[in-house]
Amino acid sequence: MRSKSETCACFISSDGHRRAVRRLVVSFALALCAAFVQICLSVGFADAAAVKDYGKPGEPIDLVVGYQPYYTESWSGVIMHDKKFYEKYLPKGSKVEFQIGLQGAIIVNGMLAGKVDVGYMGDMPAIVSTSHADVRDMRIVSVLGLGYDQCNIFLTRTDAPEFKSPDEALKWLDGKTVAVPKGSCTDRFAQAVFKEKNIKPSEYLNQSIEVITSGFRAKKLDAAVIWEPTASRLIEDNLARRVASGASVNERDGGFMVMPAALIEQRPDVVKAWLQGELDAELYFGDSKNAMSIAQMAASQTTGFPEKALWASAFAQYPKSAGGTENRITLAYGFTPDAKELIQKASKFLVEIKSIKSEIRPDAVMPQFTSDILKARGLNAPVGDVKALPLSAYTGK
Amino acid sequence: MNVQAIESARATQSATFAAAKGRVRIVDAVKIYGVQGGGGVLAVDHCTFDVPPGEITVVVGPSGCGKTTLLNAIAGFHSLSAGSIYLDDEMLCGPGKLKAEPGPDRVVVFQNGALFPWKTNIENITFGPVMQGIMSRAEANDKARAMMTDAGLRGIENNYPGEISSGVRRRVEIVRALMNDPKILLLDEPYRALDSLTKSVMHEALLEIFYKNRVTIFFITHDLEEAIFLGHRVVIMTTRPCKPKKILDIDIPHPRNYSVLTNKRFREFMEETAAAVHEEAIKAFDAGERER
Amino acid sequence: MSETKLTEFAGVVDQQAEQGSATKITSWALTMYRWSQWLQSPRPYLMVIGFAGFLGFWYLAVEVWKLPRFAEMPGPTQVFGEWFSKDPTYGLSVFTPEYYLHIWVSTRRIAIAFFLATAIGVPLGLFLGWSVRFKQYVFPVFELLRPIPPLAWVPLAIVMFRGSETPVIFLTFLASFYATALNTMLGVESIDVSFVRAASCLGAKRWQVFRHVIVPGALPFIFTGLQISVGVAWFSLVAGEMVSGQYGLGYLINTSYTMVRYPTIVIGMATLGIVGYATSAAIRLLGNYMMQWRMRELSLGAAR
Repeated sequence: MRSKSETCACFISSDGHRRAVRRLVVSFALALCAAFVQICLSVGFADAAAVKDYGKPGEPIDLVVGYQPYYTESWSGVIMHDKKFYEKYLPKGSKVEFQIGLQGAIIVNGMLAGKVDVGYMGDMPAIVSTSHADVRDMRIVSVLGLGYDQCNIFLTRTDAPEFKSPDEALKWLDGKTVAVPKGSCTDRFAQAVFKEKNIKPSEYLNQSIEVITSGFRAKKLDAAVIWEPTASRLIEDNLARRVASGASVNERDGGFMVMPAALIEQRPDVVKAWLQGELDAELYFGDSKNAMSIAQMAASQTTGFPEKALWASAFAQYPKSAGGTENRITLAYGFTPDAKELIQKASKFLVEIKSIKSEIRPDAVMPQFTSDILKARGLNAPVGDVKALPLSAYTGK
Repeated sequence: MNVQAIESARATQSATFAAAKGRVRIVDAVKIYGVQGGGGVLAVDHCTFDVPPGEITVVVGPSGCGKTTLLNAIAGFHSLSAGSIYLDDEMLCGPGKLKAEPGPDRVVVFQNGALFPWKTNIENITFGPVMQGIMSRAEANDKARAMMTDAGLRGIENNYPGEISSGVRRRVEIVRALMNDPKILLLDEPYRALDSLTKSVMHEALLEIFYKNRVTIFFITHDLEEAIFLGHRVVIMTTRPCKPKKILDIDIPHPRNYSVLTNKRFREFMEETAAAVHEEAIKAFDAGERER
Repeated sequence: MSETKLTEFAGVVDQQAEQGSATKITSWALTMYRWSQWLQSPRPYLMVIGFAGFLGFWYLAVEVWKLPRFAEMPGPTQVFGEWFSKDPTYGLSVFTPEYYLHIWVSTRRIAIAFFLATAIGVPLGLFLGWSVRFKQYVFPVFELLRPIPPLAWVPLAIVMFRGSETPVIFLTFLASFYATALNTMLGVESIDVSFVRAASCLGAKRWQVFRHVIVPGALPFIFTGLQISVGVAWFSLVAGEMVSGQYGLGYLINTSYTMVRYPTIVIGMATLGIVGYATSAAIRLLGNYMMQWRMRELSLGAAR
C-alpha cells in the first residue's frame, strides 16, 4: 500500500512526470530495437521472398498433395492415392504425402501457406486460390471432372412436402433455413440459383458438413446444399431428401487441380509426370468395371461413410424429379469449352458477391500441359465419363 | 502464597461488585486433538482454574501450549474431550454437551482482527445487536456513536477498517464486542501483531475501557510483562499439554498506567514469575513448538 | 494541480472527522476522482505507446522486411485499408452495417451467456464453498465435466437445444460458468474462519453469516472469476458460432477462413480483442465500484 502512494506522489509533480515518461519511452524503444536486431540476425535477409525451392528438373522431389476423399468429383485423387499411378512418371526417389482436406478452402489455405503443393478442389476454392497472387501465385492446371449433381445438390428435411418438380422444391426454399459450407462449390451454386430464381431463405447459415448432418438429425434445418458423397450419405441414413440439382437449373459444377506457379516454373517435369498419372487415374475412374474397387478405395480412405453411400455418390442414378443424371461425372481432364465456360461464369459471379477482387486472370488457367499430354497419347478431352449404374451393380454389403 | 487463601480474599472483593457477571469456572478440562488412545495430541491436560467476575484474568504461556484451545472452548468454537466449563453457574460445556454454542455473552476479539473489511466501522459495531434483532438500526447507531465517542473513536464511523490503523482497528473490535453487553470478553492475543509502541498505547486504552465497563476479561498472551501490567490475576501455563503452573494475584492497585512498569512491586512479580515462564519456554522450544 | 486536488480531497475527510459528522464520501465521487487521476497520469499514454510498438513491429515484419513466416500474413496497411475503406474488397469495414451487426450479435450472445453463467455459477460456487455435504455430492461431477472443451459439446448442443441461438449460448455459457463457479467456491474457502466465528459469537444465525460474511468476503474472488469468465466466454464464442452459422464475430472469422479472406480474419480478430477488452474492463470497473472498501484502502493509503 505504501509503495503505491509513493508512486502516485511521484506522478503528481510535473518534473518527475516528464522524467518518468522519458525513461519509460527510451527503455521501451531500446527493447524493441533489441528484439528486431535479434530477429534479423537469426533469420537473415536472404530468405525474404519465401518462395519454395523445388529443386532442379530430374531431381527427386517431395510433394504434399491435398486431396478430398470427401468430395466425389475429385476422386481421381483417391485413385491416385491407392493405385500410385504417379510412381512410374516421377523421378526415382520422390516421395508423395497425401493430406486429407475436409473442404477445398482448407487445402487452399494450406497451399497459400506453402505447405501443400498439389490441390484437388471444387470450382469456387480453385478460382479463389488464383486470386491471391500477392501471397502465392497459383494456377489451375487440369480439370478433374464436370458434373450437374456432384456439388450442386439440394437436400431438404425428410418431412418436407412432396414436390411435383425440382422447381417447386426450389420455390419452397423461400423463407426457410438453408445451410451450406461457405466458400465451397455448393456456396457459389446456391447463391447463383437463389439470385436467378429470386429465392430468399430466412437464414443462410455457414455450417460444416458435420454440423449440417447434426442439424438434419435434430430436425433443425429445412434444407442444405451439399456435395457428394455427404449428400448420398444423408440420403442413405434417411436424414434428408434430395429435391433438385444443377441438372434442374442447368448449372454445372466442376473439380479442378491447382498447383503453385513456382512449382510449374521450376519443375515442369514434375507437373507433366503428375498429370500423366492423373490421366491414368481418370481413365480408371471412367471404366465402369472399376466401380466396386473405387468404392472400396474411398471407404478405406474415409471414416463414417457406409460403402454403399460412397458407391451411390459416384454411380447411382437419382430420379429425374430430384435432378438425377445418367452421366454423373464428365472426366474432362483438359479444358473443354464447358470447363472454360464454367470458370468464366463462376469467376464473374464470385466478383459480384465480393468473394474475389477481380475476375480470374487469363494466365491463371494453364491448359498447355494437359493438351500436350493428350496429344502425345492420342486422346481427346473429355477422356471419359462416370456413368450411372443400376443398383444391382453394387455388390457390397 | 496459598491459592486457597487468595481465592477467598478474591471472593469477598468480588462480592462488592454487585451483579458482576462473567465468572468462569474451568473444571478438569481435557482436550485431545486427533484420534483418542494413541495418535492423538494432548493439548489441555486436566486444567482447573477460575476466572473471577469483573476482573481481568490473563493466561500466559508459550506459543502453542493450548491456551487458545481453552479460549475457543469457552467461546464455543472447539469442543472439550472431557471436563466442564461453567459460566455464572450455568454449564457451557461438559459431559453430555462437549461443545458450547457461540453467543453474544462471550464475545471474542481475535488475534489478527476480525472486523469485517466490507462493512464500515459503525456497521461492524452495530452488527451484533442488529443481527440479533434486539435493537433497530437507528437505536444501535446511536448507542454505537456514544460508545465510540467514549472510546475516543469519534469521526471514523463511516470509514472502512482498511482505512484506519491496526491499533485503532483493535479498539473498534473491542467496542463491537462491548456493544453486546457480554458477560465476558475473550481476547486471544489481540496485540500480538502490533509493534511495542502501539502496544503500550493499546494497553492503556484497554484498561480505560475496562474501568468504564467493568466487564470480565479473559486475556491470552505470551508476553509476561503485558500479563502482569494488565491482569488482576495471572495464570501461568505449562507448555503443551497446558496446565496451570502458577496462579498469581497481582495486588498492584488499579487504575494502573505505564508508570507501573517501573514500580517496585511490578519488578518483584516479574522476578517471581520470569524463571517459571522461562523454564516453560525452553521446554516448548525443545519440543519444537510451531507458531499456531 | 493534482497535488491540490489530493489535499483538497484529504481536507474533506479531515473536515468531516473534526465535525464528527457521519456523511459518506460517495462511491461515485471516488470513482470519478480515480478516473480523472488515471487520465492525468502517464498510464493512458504508455498504453498508446505499447500499441504503437506492436503495430510497428507488425508493419516492419510483414511489409518492410518480409520476414519468412510473416511475409504471407496480411500486413497492417492491407488490414487497415480494408477495415476503414468505404468500399471494402471483401465487403466488410467500419462503413458497412454488417460489421456492427456482427458485433451486436456476438455481444448479445456473450451478455446472455455471461449473465446466465453468473446467475447460476455464483450461487453454486457459494454453496460449494459453504456446505461440505453439498460439495461432496456435486464437486466430483463438476470437476469431471469441467475439462471437456466447448468444441466437444457441439454435437450434443445441437441435439439438446431447440433453435440455433440456444446451442451457441450454451457453448459460450459453459466455460464461463466453470470459471465463475470455481472462483466463487475458492473465494468462500479463502475467507478467514475468524470472520465466521466473529459473526457467530456476535449472535448471527447461519443464514445471516452467509449473507453478511460469506457473500461479501468472497466478492474479490468472485470478481476475479468474472473477469476470467468473460474472457473465456469470448474464447468459446468462436467455437459456439460454428454452430450458429450466420452472424457474429466468431462466424466472421470462421467464414473468412473458408472464403480465404485474410484481411477480414484479422479485422474480426482485432474487433474481438477490442470488444473483449472493453467487456473485461467494464467488469473490473463494476467490481471496483462494488468493493469500495478495497478501493478506499488503496486510494486513501496516500493520505495516511
